[in-house]
Amino acid sequence: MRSPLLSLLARLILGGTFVWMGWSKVSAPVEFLKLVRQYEMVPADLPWLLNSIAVLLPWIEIVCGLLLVFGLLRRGAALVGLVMLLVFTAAVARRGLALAEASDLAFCLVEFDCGCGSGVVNVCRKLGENALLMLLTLLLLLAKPAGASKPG
Amino acid sequence: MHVLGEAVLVGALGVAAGMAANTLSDGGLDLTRDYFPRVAPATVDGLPQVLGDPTAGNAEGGNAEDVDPSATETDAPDAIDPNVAARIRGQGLGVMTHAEALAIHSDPAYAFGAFVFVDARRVEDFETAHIPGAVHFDHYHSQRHIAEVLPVVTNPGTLRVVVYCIGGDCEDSEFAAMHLMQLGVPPDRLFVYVGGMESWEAAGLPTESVAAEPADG
Repeated sequence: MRSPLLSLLARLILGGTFVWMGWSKVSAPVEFLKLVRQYEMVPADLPWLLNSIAVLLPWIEIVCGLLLVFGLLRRGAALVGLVMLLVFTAAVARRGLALAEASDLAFCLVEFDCGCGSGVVNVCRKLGENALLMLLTLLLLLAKPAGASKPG
Repeated sequence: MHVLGEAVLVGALGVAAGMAANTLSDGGLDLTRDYFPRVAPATVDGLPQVLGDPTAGNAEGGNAEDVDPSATETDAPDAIDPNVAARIRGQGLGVMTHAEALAIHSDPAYAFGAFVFVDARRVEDFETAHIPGAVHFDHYHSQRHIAEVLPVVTNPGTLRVVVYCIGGDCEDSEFAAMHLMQLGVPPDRLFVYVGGMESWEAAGLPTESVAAEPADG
């Protein structure tokens, strides 16, 4: 990303979103634990893994978001953000498909609490939001590291 | 620093922050505990218990007056999904319909502790409104409640312990009942009121709030 202003805007949007999503989960850890369980991505005989995800994921989001807002380790934070968004998006799409099948609804009519921090959402809208956020992380990742544009 | 190195550092900072916050928080999770205990599924044919007349049972033979479970659960206005009933029974727990819960609550023996309602919802839900006389047991924070709840539900005079949560898809009553079982409550006195608070309030039955309870002394 060549424009510092665009880079700043991308960091603030991404960082603010991560902090907000993370904090909403941290403030209700049990509710988030239940939502993570609903994705059925962790075997039932590994409760420590499920609990660890519920405890650690929101804080990784918050740390990632704060670093982006303050412009520290920003490419690393953007990479972590991208990886998280990829996993979230795949999980939301998978659950959306399962709910659509179970309720005999069109995929884009499915609404559920994805555990993303924003309550009940429309699955297609959530996937669209995630796509935009992933685009921002990619822009930050592809941006030249600070100082690299001024050789010599 | 290479972007991968930065990413590892970001992840490590997040993990450290999460571990520290979980340790320091009063509402932190026990990372090793199974909050969603399940036993091997059983079929309806392998019923551990079937609830009979709720006012006539006893701790040892609480299912003596056998009621056909399908008749009980599908003929009643508050019909219970047979799959849910089978799942609950598969855990070794009893299933209680709304009518049975109401009968227990109306039984004169309720006032003497023969039957105990256990509210497995969040503390704010319990404080707002709960079934009169119910004790609170949020199993996700069981250490806060054990000292108060365990003597009540393990009392030899307690014939049936009826655990409920919101109702609908809520499973917290099952997990709370399983946790009570793990803590030593005899399975044959543990029942899940499937309709939960939704059914109770929808029927216009009285509720109690913490603020309305008289203060000690």
